[in-house]
Amino acid sequence: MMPNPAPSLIRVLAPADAVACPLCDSDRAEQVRAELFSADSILVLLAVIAPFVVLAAILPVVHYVIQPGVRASTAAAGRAL
Amino acid sequence: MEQPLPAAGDKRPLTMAGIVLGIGMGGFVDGILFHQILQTHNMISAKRPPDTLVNVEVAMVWDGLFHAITWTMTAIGLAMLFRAARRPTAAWSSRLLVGAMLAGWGLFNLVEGIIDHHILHVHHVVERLGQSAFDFLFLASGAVLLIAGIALTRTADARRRPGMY
Repeated sequence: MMPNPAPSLIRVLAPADAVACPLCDSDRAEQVRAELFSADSILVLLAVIAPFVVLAAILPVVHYVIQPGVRASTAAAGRAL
Repeated sequence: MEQPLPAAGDKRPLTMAGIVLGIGMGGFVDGILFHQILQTHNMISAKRPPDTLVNVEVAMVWDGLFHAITWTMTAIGLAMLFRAARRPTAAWSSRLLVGAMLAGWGLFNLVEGIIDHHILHVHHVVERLGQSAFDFLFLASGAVLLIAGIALTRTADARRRPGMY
């Protein structure tokens, strides 16, 4: 059976500097790493995390402030049964 | 002999589990549908447009972090669901769980939309348009999901699971 030539062709034809993954060994990969560890990455990190921090802050409010009414009504229904 | 009716249960454990699951899965809908399948935006597309390989690679890392957080929220939601299932006093209803999940998804769209699309402007729903009607449509979808979810949880049966009296 003939081996599939596609992977070898890609390896030969693709320019070496097209490799840009964060852990690769190339000029572009170094640029990626530089971007990821630049000063404004802290701001991007905050932007990614911020919605989840706010959502996490909303959850106790739902549990302790909004939901007790539900608990009271179900407890009353339980007594009625 | 007539079976006794199940006693009323506490809606909170299942509701909270559903909300956290909804937040996690709502995040996955955003990330998988808009960031990956449709590619209308990515996490930082307003700051670094995906027009070079380096920018795409950097955005992929931030998208990965976003997905890691939504995965964690989903895992926490599953753990909360497991705990709710073990509590004998917890109400157990599909309507309650689905309603809470819709509410969680709605909360995610509202909070993420307001912070990322309207305050920080790190990305917009359709990036090539900048801030557009789609950003407001995203917020509206959050409000509709939240209202529908609250309506479902309020009208859901509060009975405990059969056998949990």
